[in-house]
Amino acid sequence: MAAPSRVLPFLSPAASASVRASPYGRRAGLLRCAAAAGQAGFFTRLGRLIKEKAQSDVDKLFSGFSKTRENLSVVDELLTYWNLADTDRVLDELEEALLVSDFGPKISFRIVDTLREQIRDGKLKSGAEIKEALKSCILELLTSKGGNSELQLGFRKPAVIMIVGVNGGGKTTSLGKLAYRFKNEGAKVLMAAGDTFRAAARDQLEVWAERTGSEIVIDNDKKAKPPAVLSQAVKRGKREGYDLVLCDTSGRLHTNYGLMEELVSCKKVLAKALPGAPNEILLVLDGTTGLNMLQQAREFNDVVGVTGFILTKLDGTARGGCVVSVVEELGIPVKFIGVGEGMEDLQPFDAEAFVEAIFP
Amino acid sequence: MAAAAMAPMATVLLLLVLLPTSTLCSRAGPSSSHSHGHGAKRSPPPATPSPPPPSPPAAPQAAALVRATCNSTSYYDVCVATLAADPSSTTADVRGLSAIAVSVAAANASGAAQAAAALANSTGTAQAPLADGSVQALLRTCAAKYGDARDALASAKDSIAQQDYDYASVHVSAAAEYPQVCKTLFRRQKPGAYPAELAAREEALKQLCSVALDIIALLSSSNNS
Repeated sequence: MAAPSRVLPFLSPAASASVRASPYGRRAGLLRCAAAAGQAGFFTRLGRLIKEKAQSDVDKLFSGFSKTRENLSVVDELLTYWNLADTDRVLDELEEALLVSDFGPKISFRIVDTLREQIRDGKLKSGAEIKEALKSCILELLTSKGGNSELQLGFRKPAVIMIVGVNGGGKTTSLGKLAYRFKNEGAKVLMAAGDTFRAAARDQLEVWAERTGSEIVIDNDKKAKPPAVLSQAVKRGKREGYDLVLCDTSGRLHTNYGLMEELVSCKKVLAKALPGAPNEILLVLDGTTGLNMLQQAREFNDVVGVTGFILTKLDGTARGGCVVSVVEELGIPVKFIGVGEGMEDLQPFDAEAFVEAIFP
Repeated sequence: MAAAAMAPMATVLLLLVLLPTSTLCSRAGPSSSHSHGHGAKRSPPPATPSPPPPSPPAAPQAAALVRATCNSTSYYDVCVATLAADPSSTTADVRGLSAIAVSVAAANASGAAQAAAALANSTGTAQAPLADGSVQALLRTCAAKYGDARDALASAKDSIAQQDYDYASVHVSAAAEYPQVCKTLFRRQKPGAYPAELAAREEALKQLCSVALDIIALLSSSNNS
């Protein structure tokens, strides 16, 4: 007998049809959570999370990338009147447009060289074909390197998600918005205020707990260390039947090795409290820092083993290309992107919808 | 040799004894005018009358603080020249000095963006035409990248005001990286055509960002201890 699928079937035929009809492609707007069939009950409660996102979500994504799209609108102008004799000039300008949108030199050059080769081989004969090839190229980079943008929530309750990143990048806010998303799907969520270093972070998380109707574990002992708080939260999550434990951690600079080591302790403590935890370690990166996020991502990954990215503040920047750079460079998927201030504006990442949003 | 190596350390230790803590510790005492961005948190007035805050450091002490701070940076001379050129450095604490360093770097990035745009718009002389269309396009990209650096430094200044020193560092690092794109593009598309003026400005910005990062690191470490 075939092994039961680890990804729940989540679309009714009607829903499937509506997704196919969407201009953003079949996979657009889907957030899927991989799970063992035996834990189907847990994921049923998160049912709507893994269904088609509302059309308004796709619209939000589209408007969230308006600045990047504006930057890249030159591509359409370049390709509209493209002719073979003009190839080098057009490709040079395309390269510049990609760089201005923070695709990064390595990727921009690779994309342009691929297109140049295809034009030379006679595979691309019009501006429209070049644009489609450009989109395919970017989509290929995103899906081959960072293919699995589904949340991997494991086999047992509670699923544990650890959020890491530098202070000021939107870490606590992202955790709050994640909680909101899960609570909306009927999940029982527990927050852990592992940022014991800053009282303000704990206060902020308490506000989010209140707003989302989640429970929270905080350090009553002012000298409590983050690992102790996280351990306490996971034990409580197990004891009281929570579906999810969302762990905040102290923000630290990626070059501060002493503090980074504390993250390793947090990770070990979670695994000790619940085998297999944390199921996800999500690194929050501020989109407005552009390519500098690569260095942060590299170092956090070396220390703690990042499983996915949350890219925030992308609506306020024209640097959407950094999404591609960070995935390509590290082979780690983007799981969520922040495209606005609102509670619903932390969007599950979908590569096709992203490419359509920046190159309509 | 050992004595020479000990001298900067002795200066810092001497400063710690001489200076009121408010001038060294960014958390205590009044911050310089530079460090009050729109996000700065001001504490409410105390319920009971409190002693007046310590007066700003006297000129010799201020100069000593600048020197001690610059001792921690990779470009001591650049640091001293940068900070001393701003009159507010005489009343600034370390946080204020970091804001000054970031402001100077931002001014440099802004100047570089304008210079690149000006080069893109100028045609040179009849004998030596400056740029064909493709070089002008590259220069416009350079102007955009220096503009990004300027914006990143503005964000860094806001982060310093909010005492988010980690993110201030991230923004300054980003600012130092943006001009690299300009050089890389020239190297790939028009080798040998990278304007000397931009090369000089890029190096200056790199040094100023390095100084700013080193000063912010002092704030981060005092914050973490």
